[in-house]
Amino acid sequence: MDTKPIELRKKRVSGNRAKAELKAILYIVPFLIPFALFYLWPVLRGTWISLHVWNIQGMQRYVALDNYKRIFENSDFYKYLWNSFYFVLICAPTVLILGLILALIINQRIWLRTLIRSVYFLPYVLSVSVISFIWLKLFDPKNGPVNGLLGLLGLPQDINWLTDHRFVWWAITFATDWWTVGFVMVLFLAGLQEIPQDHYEAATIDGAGTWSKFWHITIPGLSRVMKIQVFYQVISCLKLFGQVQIMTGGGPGNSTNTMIRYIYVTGFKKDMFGLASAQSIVFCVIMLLIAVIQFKLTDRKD
Amino acid sequence: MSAEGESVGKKLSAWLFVMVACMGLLVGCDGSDKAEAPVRKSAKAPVEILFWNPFGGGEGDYVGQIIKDFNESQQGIVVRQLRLESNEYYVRLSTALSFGKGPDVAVAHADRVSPFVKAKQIIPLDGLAQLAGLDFSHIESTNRNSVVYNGETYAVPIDTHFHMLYYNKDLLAKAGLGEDEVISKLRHLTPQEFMDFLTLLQNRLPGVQPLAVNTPFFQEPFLDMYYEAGGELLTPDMKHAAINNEKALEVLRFYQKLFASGLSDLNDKTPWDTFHNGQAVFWMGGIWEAGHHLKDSSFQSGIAELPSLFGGNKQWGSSHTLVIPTYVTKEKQLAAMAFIRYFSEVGSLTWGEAGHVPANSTVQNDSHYQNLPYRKLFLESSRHVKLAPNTDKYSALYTVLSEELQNIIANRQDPKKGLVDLEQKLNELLAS
Repeated sequence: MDTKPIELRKKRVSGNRAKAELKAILYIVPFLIPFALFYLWPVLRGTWISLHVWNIQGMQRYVALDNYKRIFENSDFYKYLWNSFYFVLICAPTVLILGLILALIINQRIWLRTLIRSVYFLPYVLSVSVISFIWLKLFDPKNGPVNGLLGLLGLPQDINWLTDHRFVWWAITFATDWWTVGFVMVLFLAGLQEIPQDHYEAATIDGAGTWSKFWHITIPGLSRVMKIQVFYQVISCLKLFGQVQIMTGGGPGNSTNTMIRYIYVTGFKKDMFGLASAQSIVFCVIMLLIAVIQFKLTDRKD
Repeated sequence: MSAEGESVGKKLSAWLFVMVACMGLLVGCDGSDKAEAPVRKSAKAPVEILFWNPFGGGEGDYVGQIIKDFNESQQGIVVRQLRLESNEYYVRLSTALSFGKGPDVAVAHADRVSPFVKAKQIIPLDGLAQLAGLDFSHIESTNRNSVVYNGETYAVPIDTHFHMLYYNKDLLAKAGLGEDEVISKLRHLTPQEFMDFLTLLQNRLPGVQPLAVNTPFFQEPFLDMYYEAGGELLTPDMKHAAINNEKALEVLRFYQKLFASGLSDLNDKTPWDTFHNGQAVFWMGGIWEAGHHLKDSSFQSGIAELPSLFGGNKQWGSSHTLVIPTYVTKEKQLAAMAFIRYFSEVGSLTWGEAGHVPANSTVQNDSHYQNLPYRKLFLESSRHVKLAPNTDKYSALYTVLSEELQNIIANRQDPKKGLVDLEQKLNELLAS
């Protein structure tokens, strides 16, 4: 048998593969270059800075892991880390539940469905500064509409939303929920529309009620979307900065100071960029750990 | 050529056509410009410089006026301004100075200049001032000395600013109290007597805050009273904090009592507006608000010295200066200095109308300035200002001071413990 055509074919195949791989590399270059430039390089540079005393005048001296030691010896670190997690605990569930409820409502064939969907999604396109200033004014204790409305409803005393420990986290959560719920809603809506209609029809024939259809068809049908949403919300809540920076300045008395704001203040306001870089690296590792745990806990098949 | 190749070829040629057409348009634009070129060449284009300032609201408008007047007063230089939010101003300024791209002339408080000098991010101005004809001997020596490093002047101080006691004349009248009588009484009161007086106002004027305190920037009213009591922030060698003492404790207890008894509203995030809206009788506010409050005809306000509650008359204060970054080109440096000279010698009169005490002594003695209301009192009070200790860590120290004091008042913390924490954190910073 003549082997030449087989060899030729092999050559052509390997040539094609090399071509395909080159093509693939070319396709990811537009991502790789900005990734290396704006993510990898700053992380490496940040790690380098974290091993030094570094201020406005640049590098002062090499201190090895001293900055890391200082972080763990400082009680403020644990306080602000807890604040960041506390926000995850109150904001992530509320925004997910609200988003799901809104998606369920909009998924019905109701009047002005598109308009309602747009109205709820609209705040999401605003920047964090804009929404923070809006809510800063709305929550103003003396002249703000929120207290005005509560007053009309019969509340005897003004609530100091942004300066009272009991209310301040809820005020920030409320503003954040209002801002991001539209995005959560849209993702849930997409998930809802993926659930085949015949599942519901079959359940109706079997005599299932609305509640049991929700529990046994809708919720399992949304599980994949839910996992992504939880993952995304936990990370974005941990990164809370803009809202507290503008609405409370970390107050009252540092009670809404979060990790990101702590890093910002250490670097830019206290001029300790080495320490701030170390804090960033530590917080980055913590977030990565959380991401890994989340991946392990949720379905590995996904 | 395959059909696919042909279509790609067609697309490419279409793109090329569009690009050539666009270039043609650009050339066309260029051509029309060239027709006017000889006219433009004869007049030298003005030097454009960018000015950064952190002044908001009322103050910012006065700066806007000074820039407008300067631009109209000559042809060679055009000043453009960028107004930035005051809280985050230094974050942006130090980033700009580090990156070497930003303003050609910028505002900086005298107590913030030191790290920029050490990092060689701003230039000494003596030579430039001479070239531009600015005479440093006209700048008040206290102001000038605060920006001299190794015998060189790195900034041109434009003012001194501090707090005064504002009062609402209408509310005093409503409480049945005579203005002169109240003001003379306030001069020599103990903290307890002052609180008793505020309680009287509270009873006579329900729903009105007797004294608005700057709670968002509490470090300022704290330092006013702490300096009155003779306190110091740092030890004389500036290596350690000196704040954990009986004087600081007394001052903190005084403020905590004010808040606890409702004589001041701890939750008021905009006390300056509270006063301006007629909802507070007294307000320990900045002199920079004088123009804003006094020119408002909707209420009658007056200004007095801060009450001497803790014995002395020293008080917190600072000074705005103008600096030129190192990266600025020679041509723009000269233009920036011309603007600085104008600001110091001419603009200071407008600046004085806002309320600040001009650092230029010629302007201080100008009859126009002297005839503005309360300005003689301002000049008198400016002598009592205790400027910040000259350390390049002041900005960081001030941040810690502000955070810890917020903790003490907002969390109603025991001031004794709060001061221990504050001193420890300041010392950590000084040691780093």
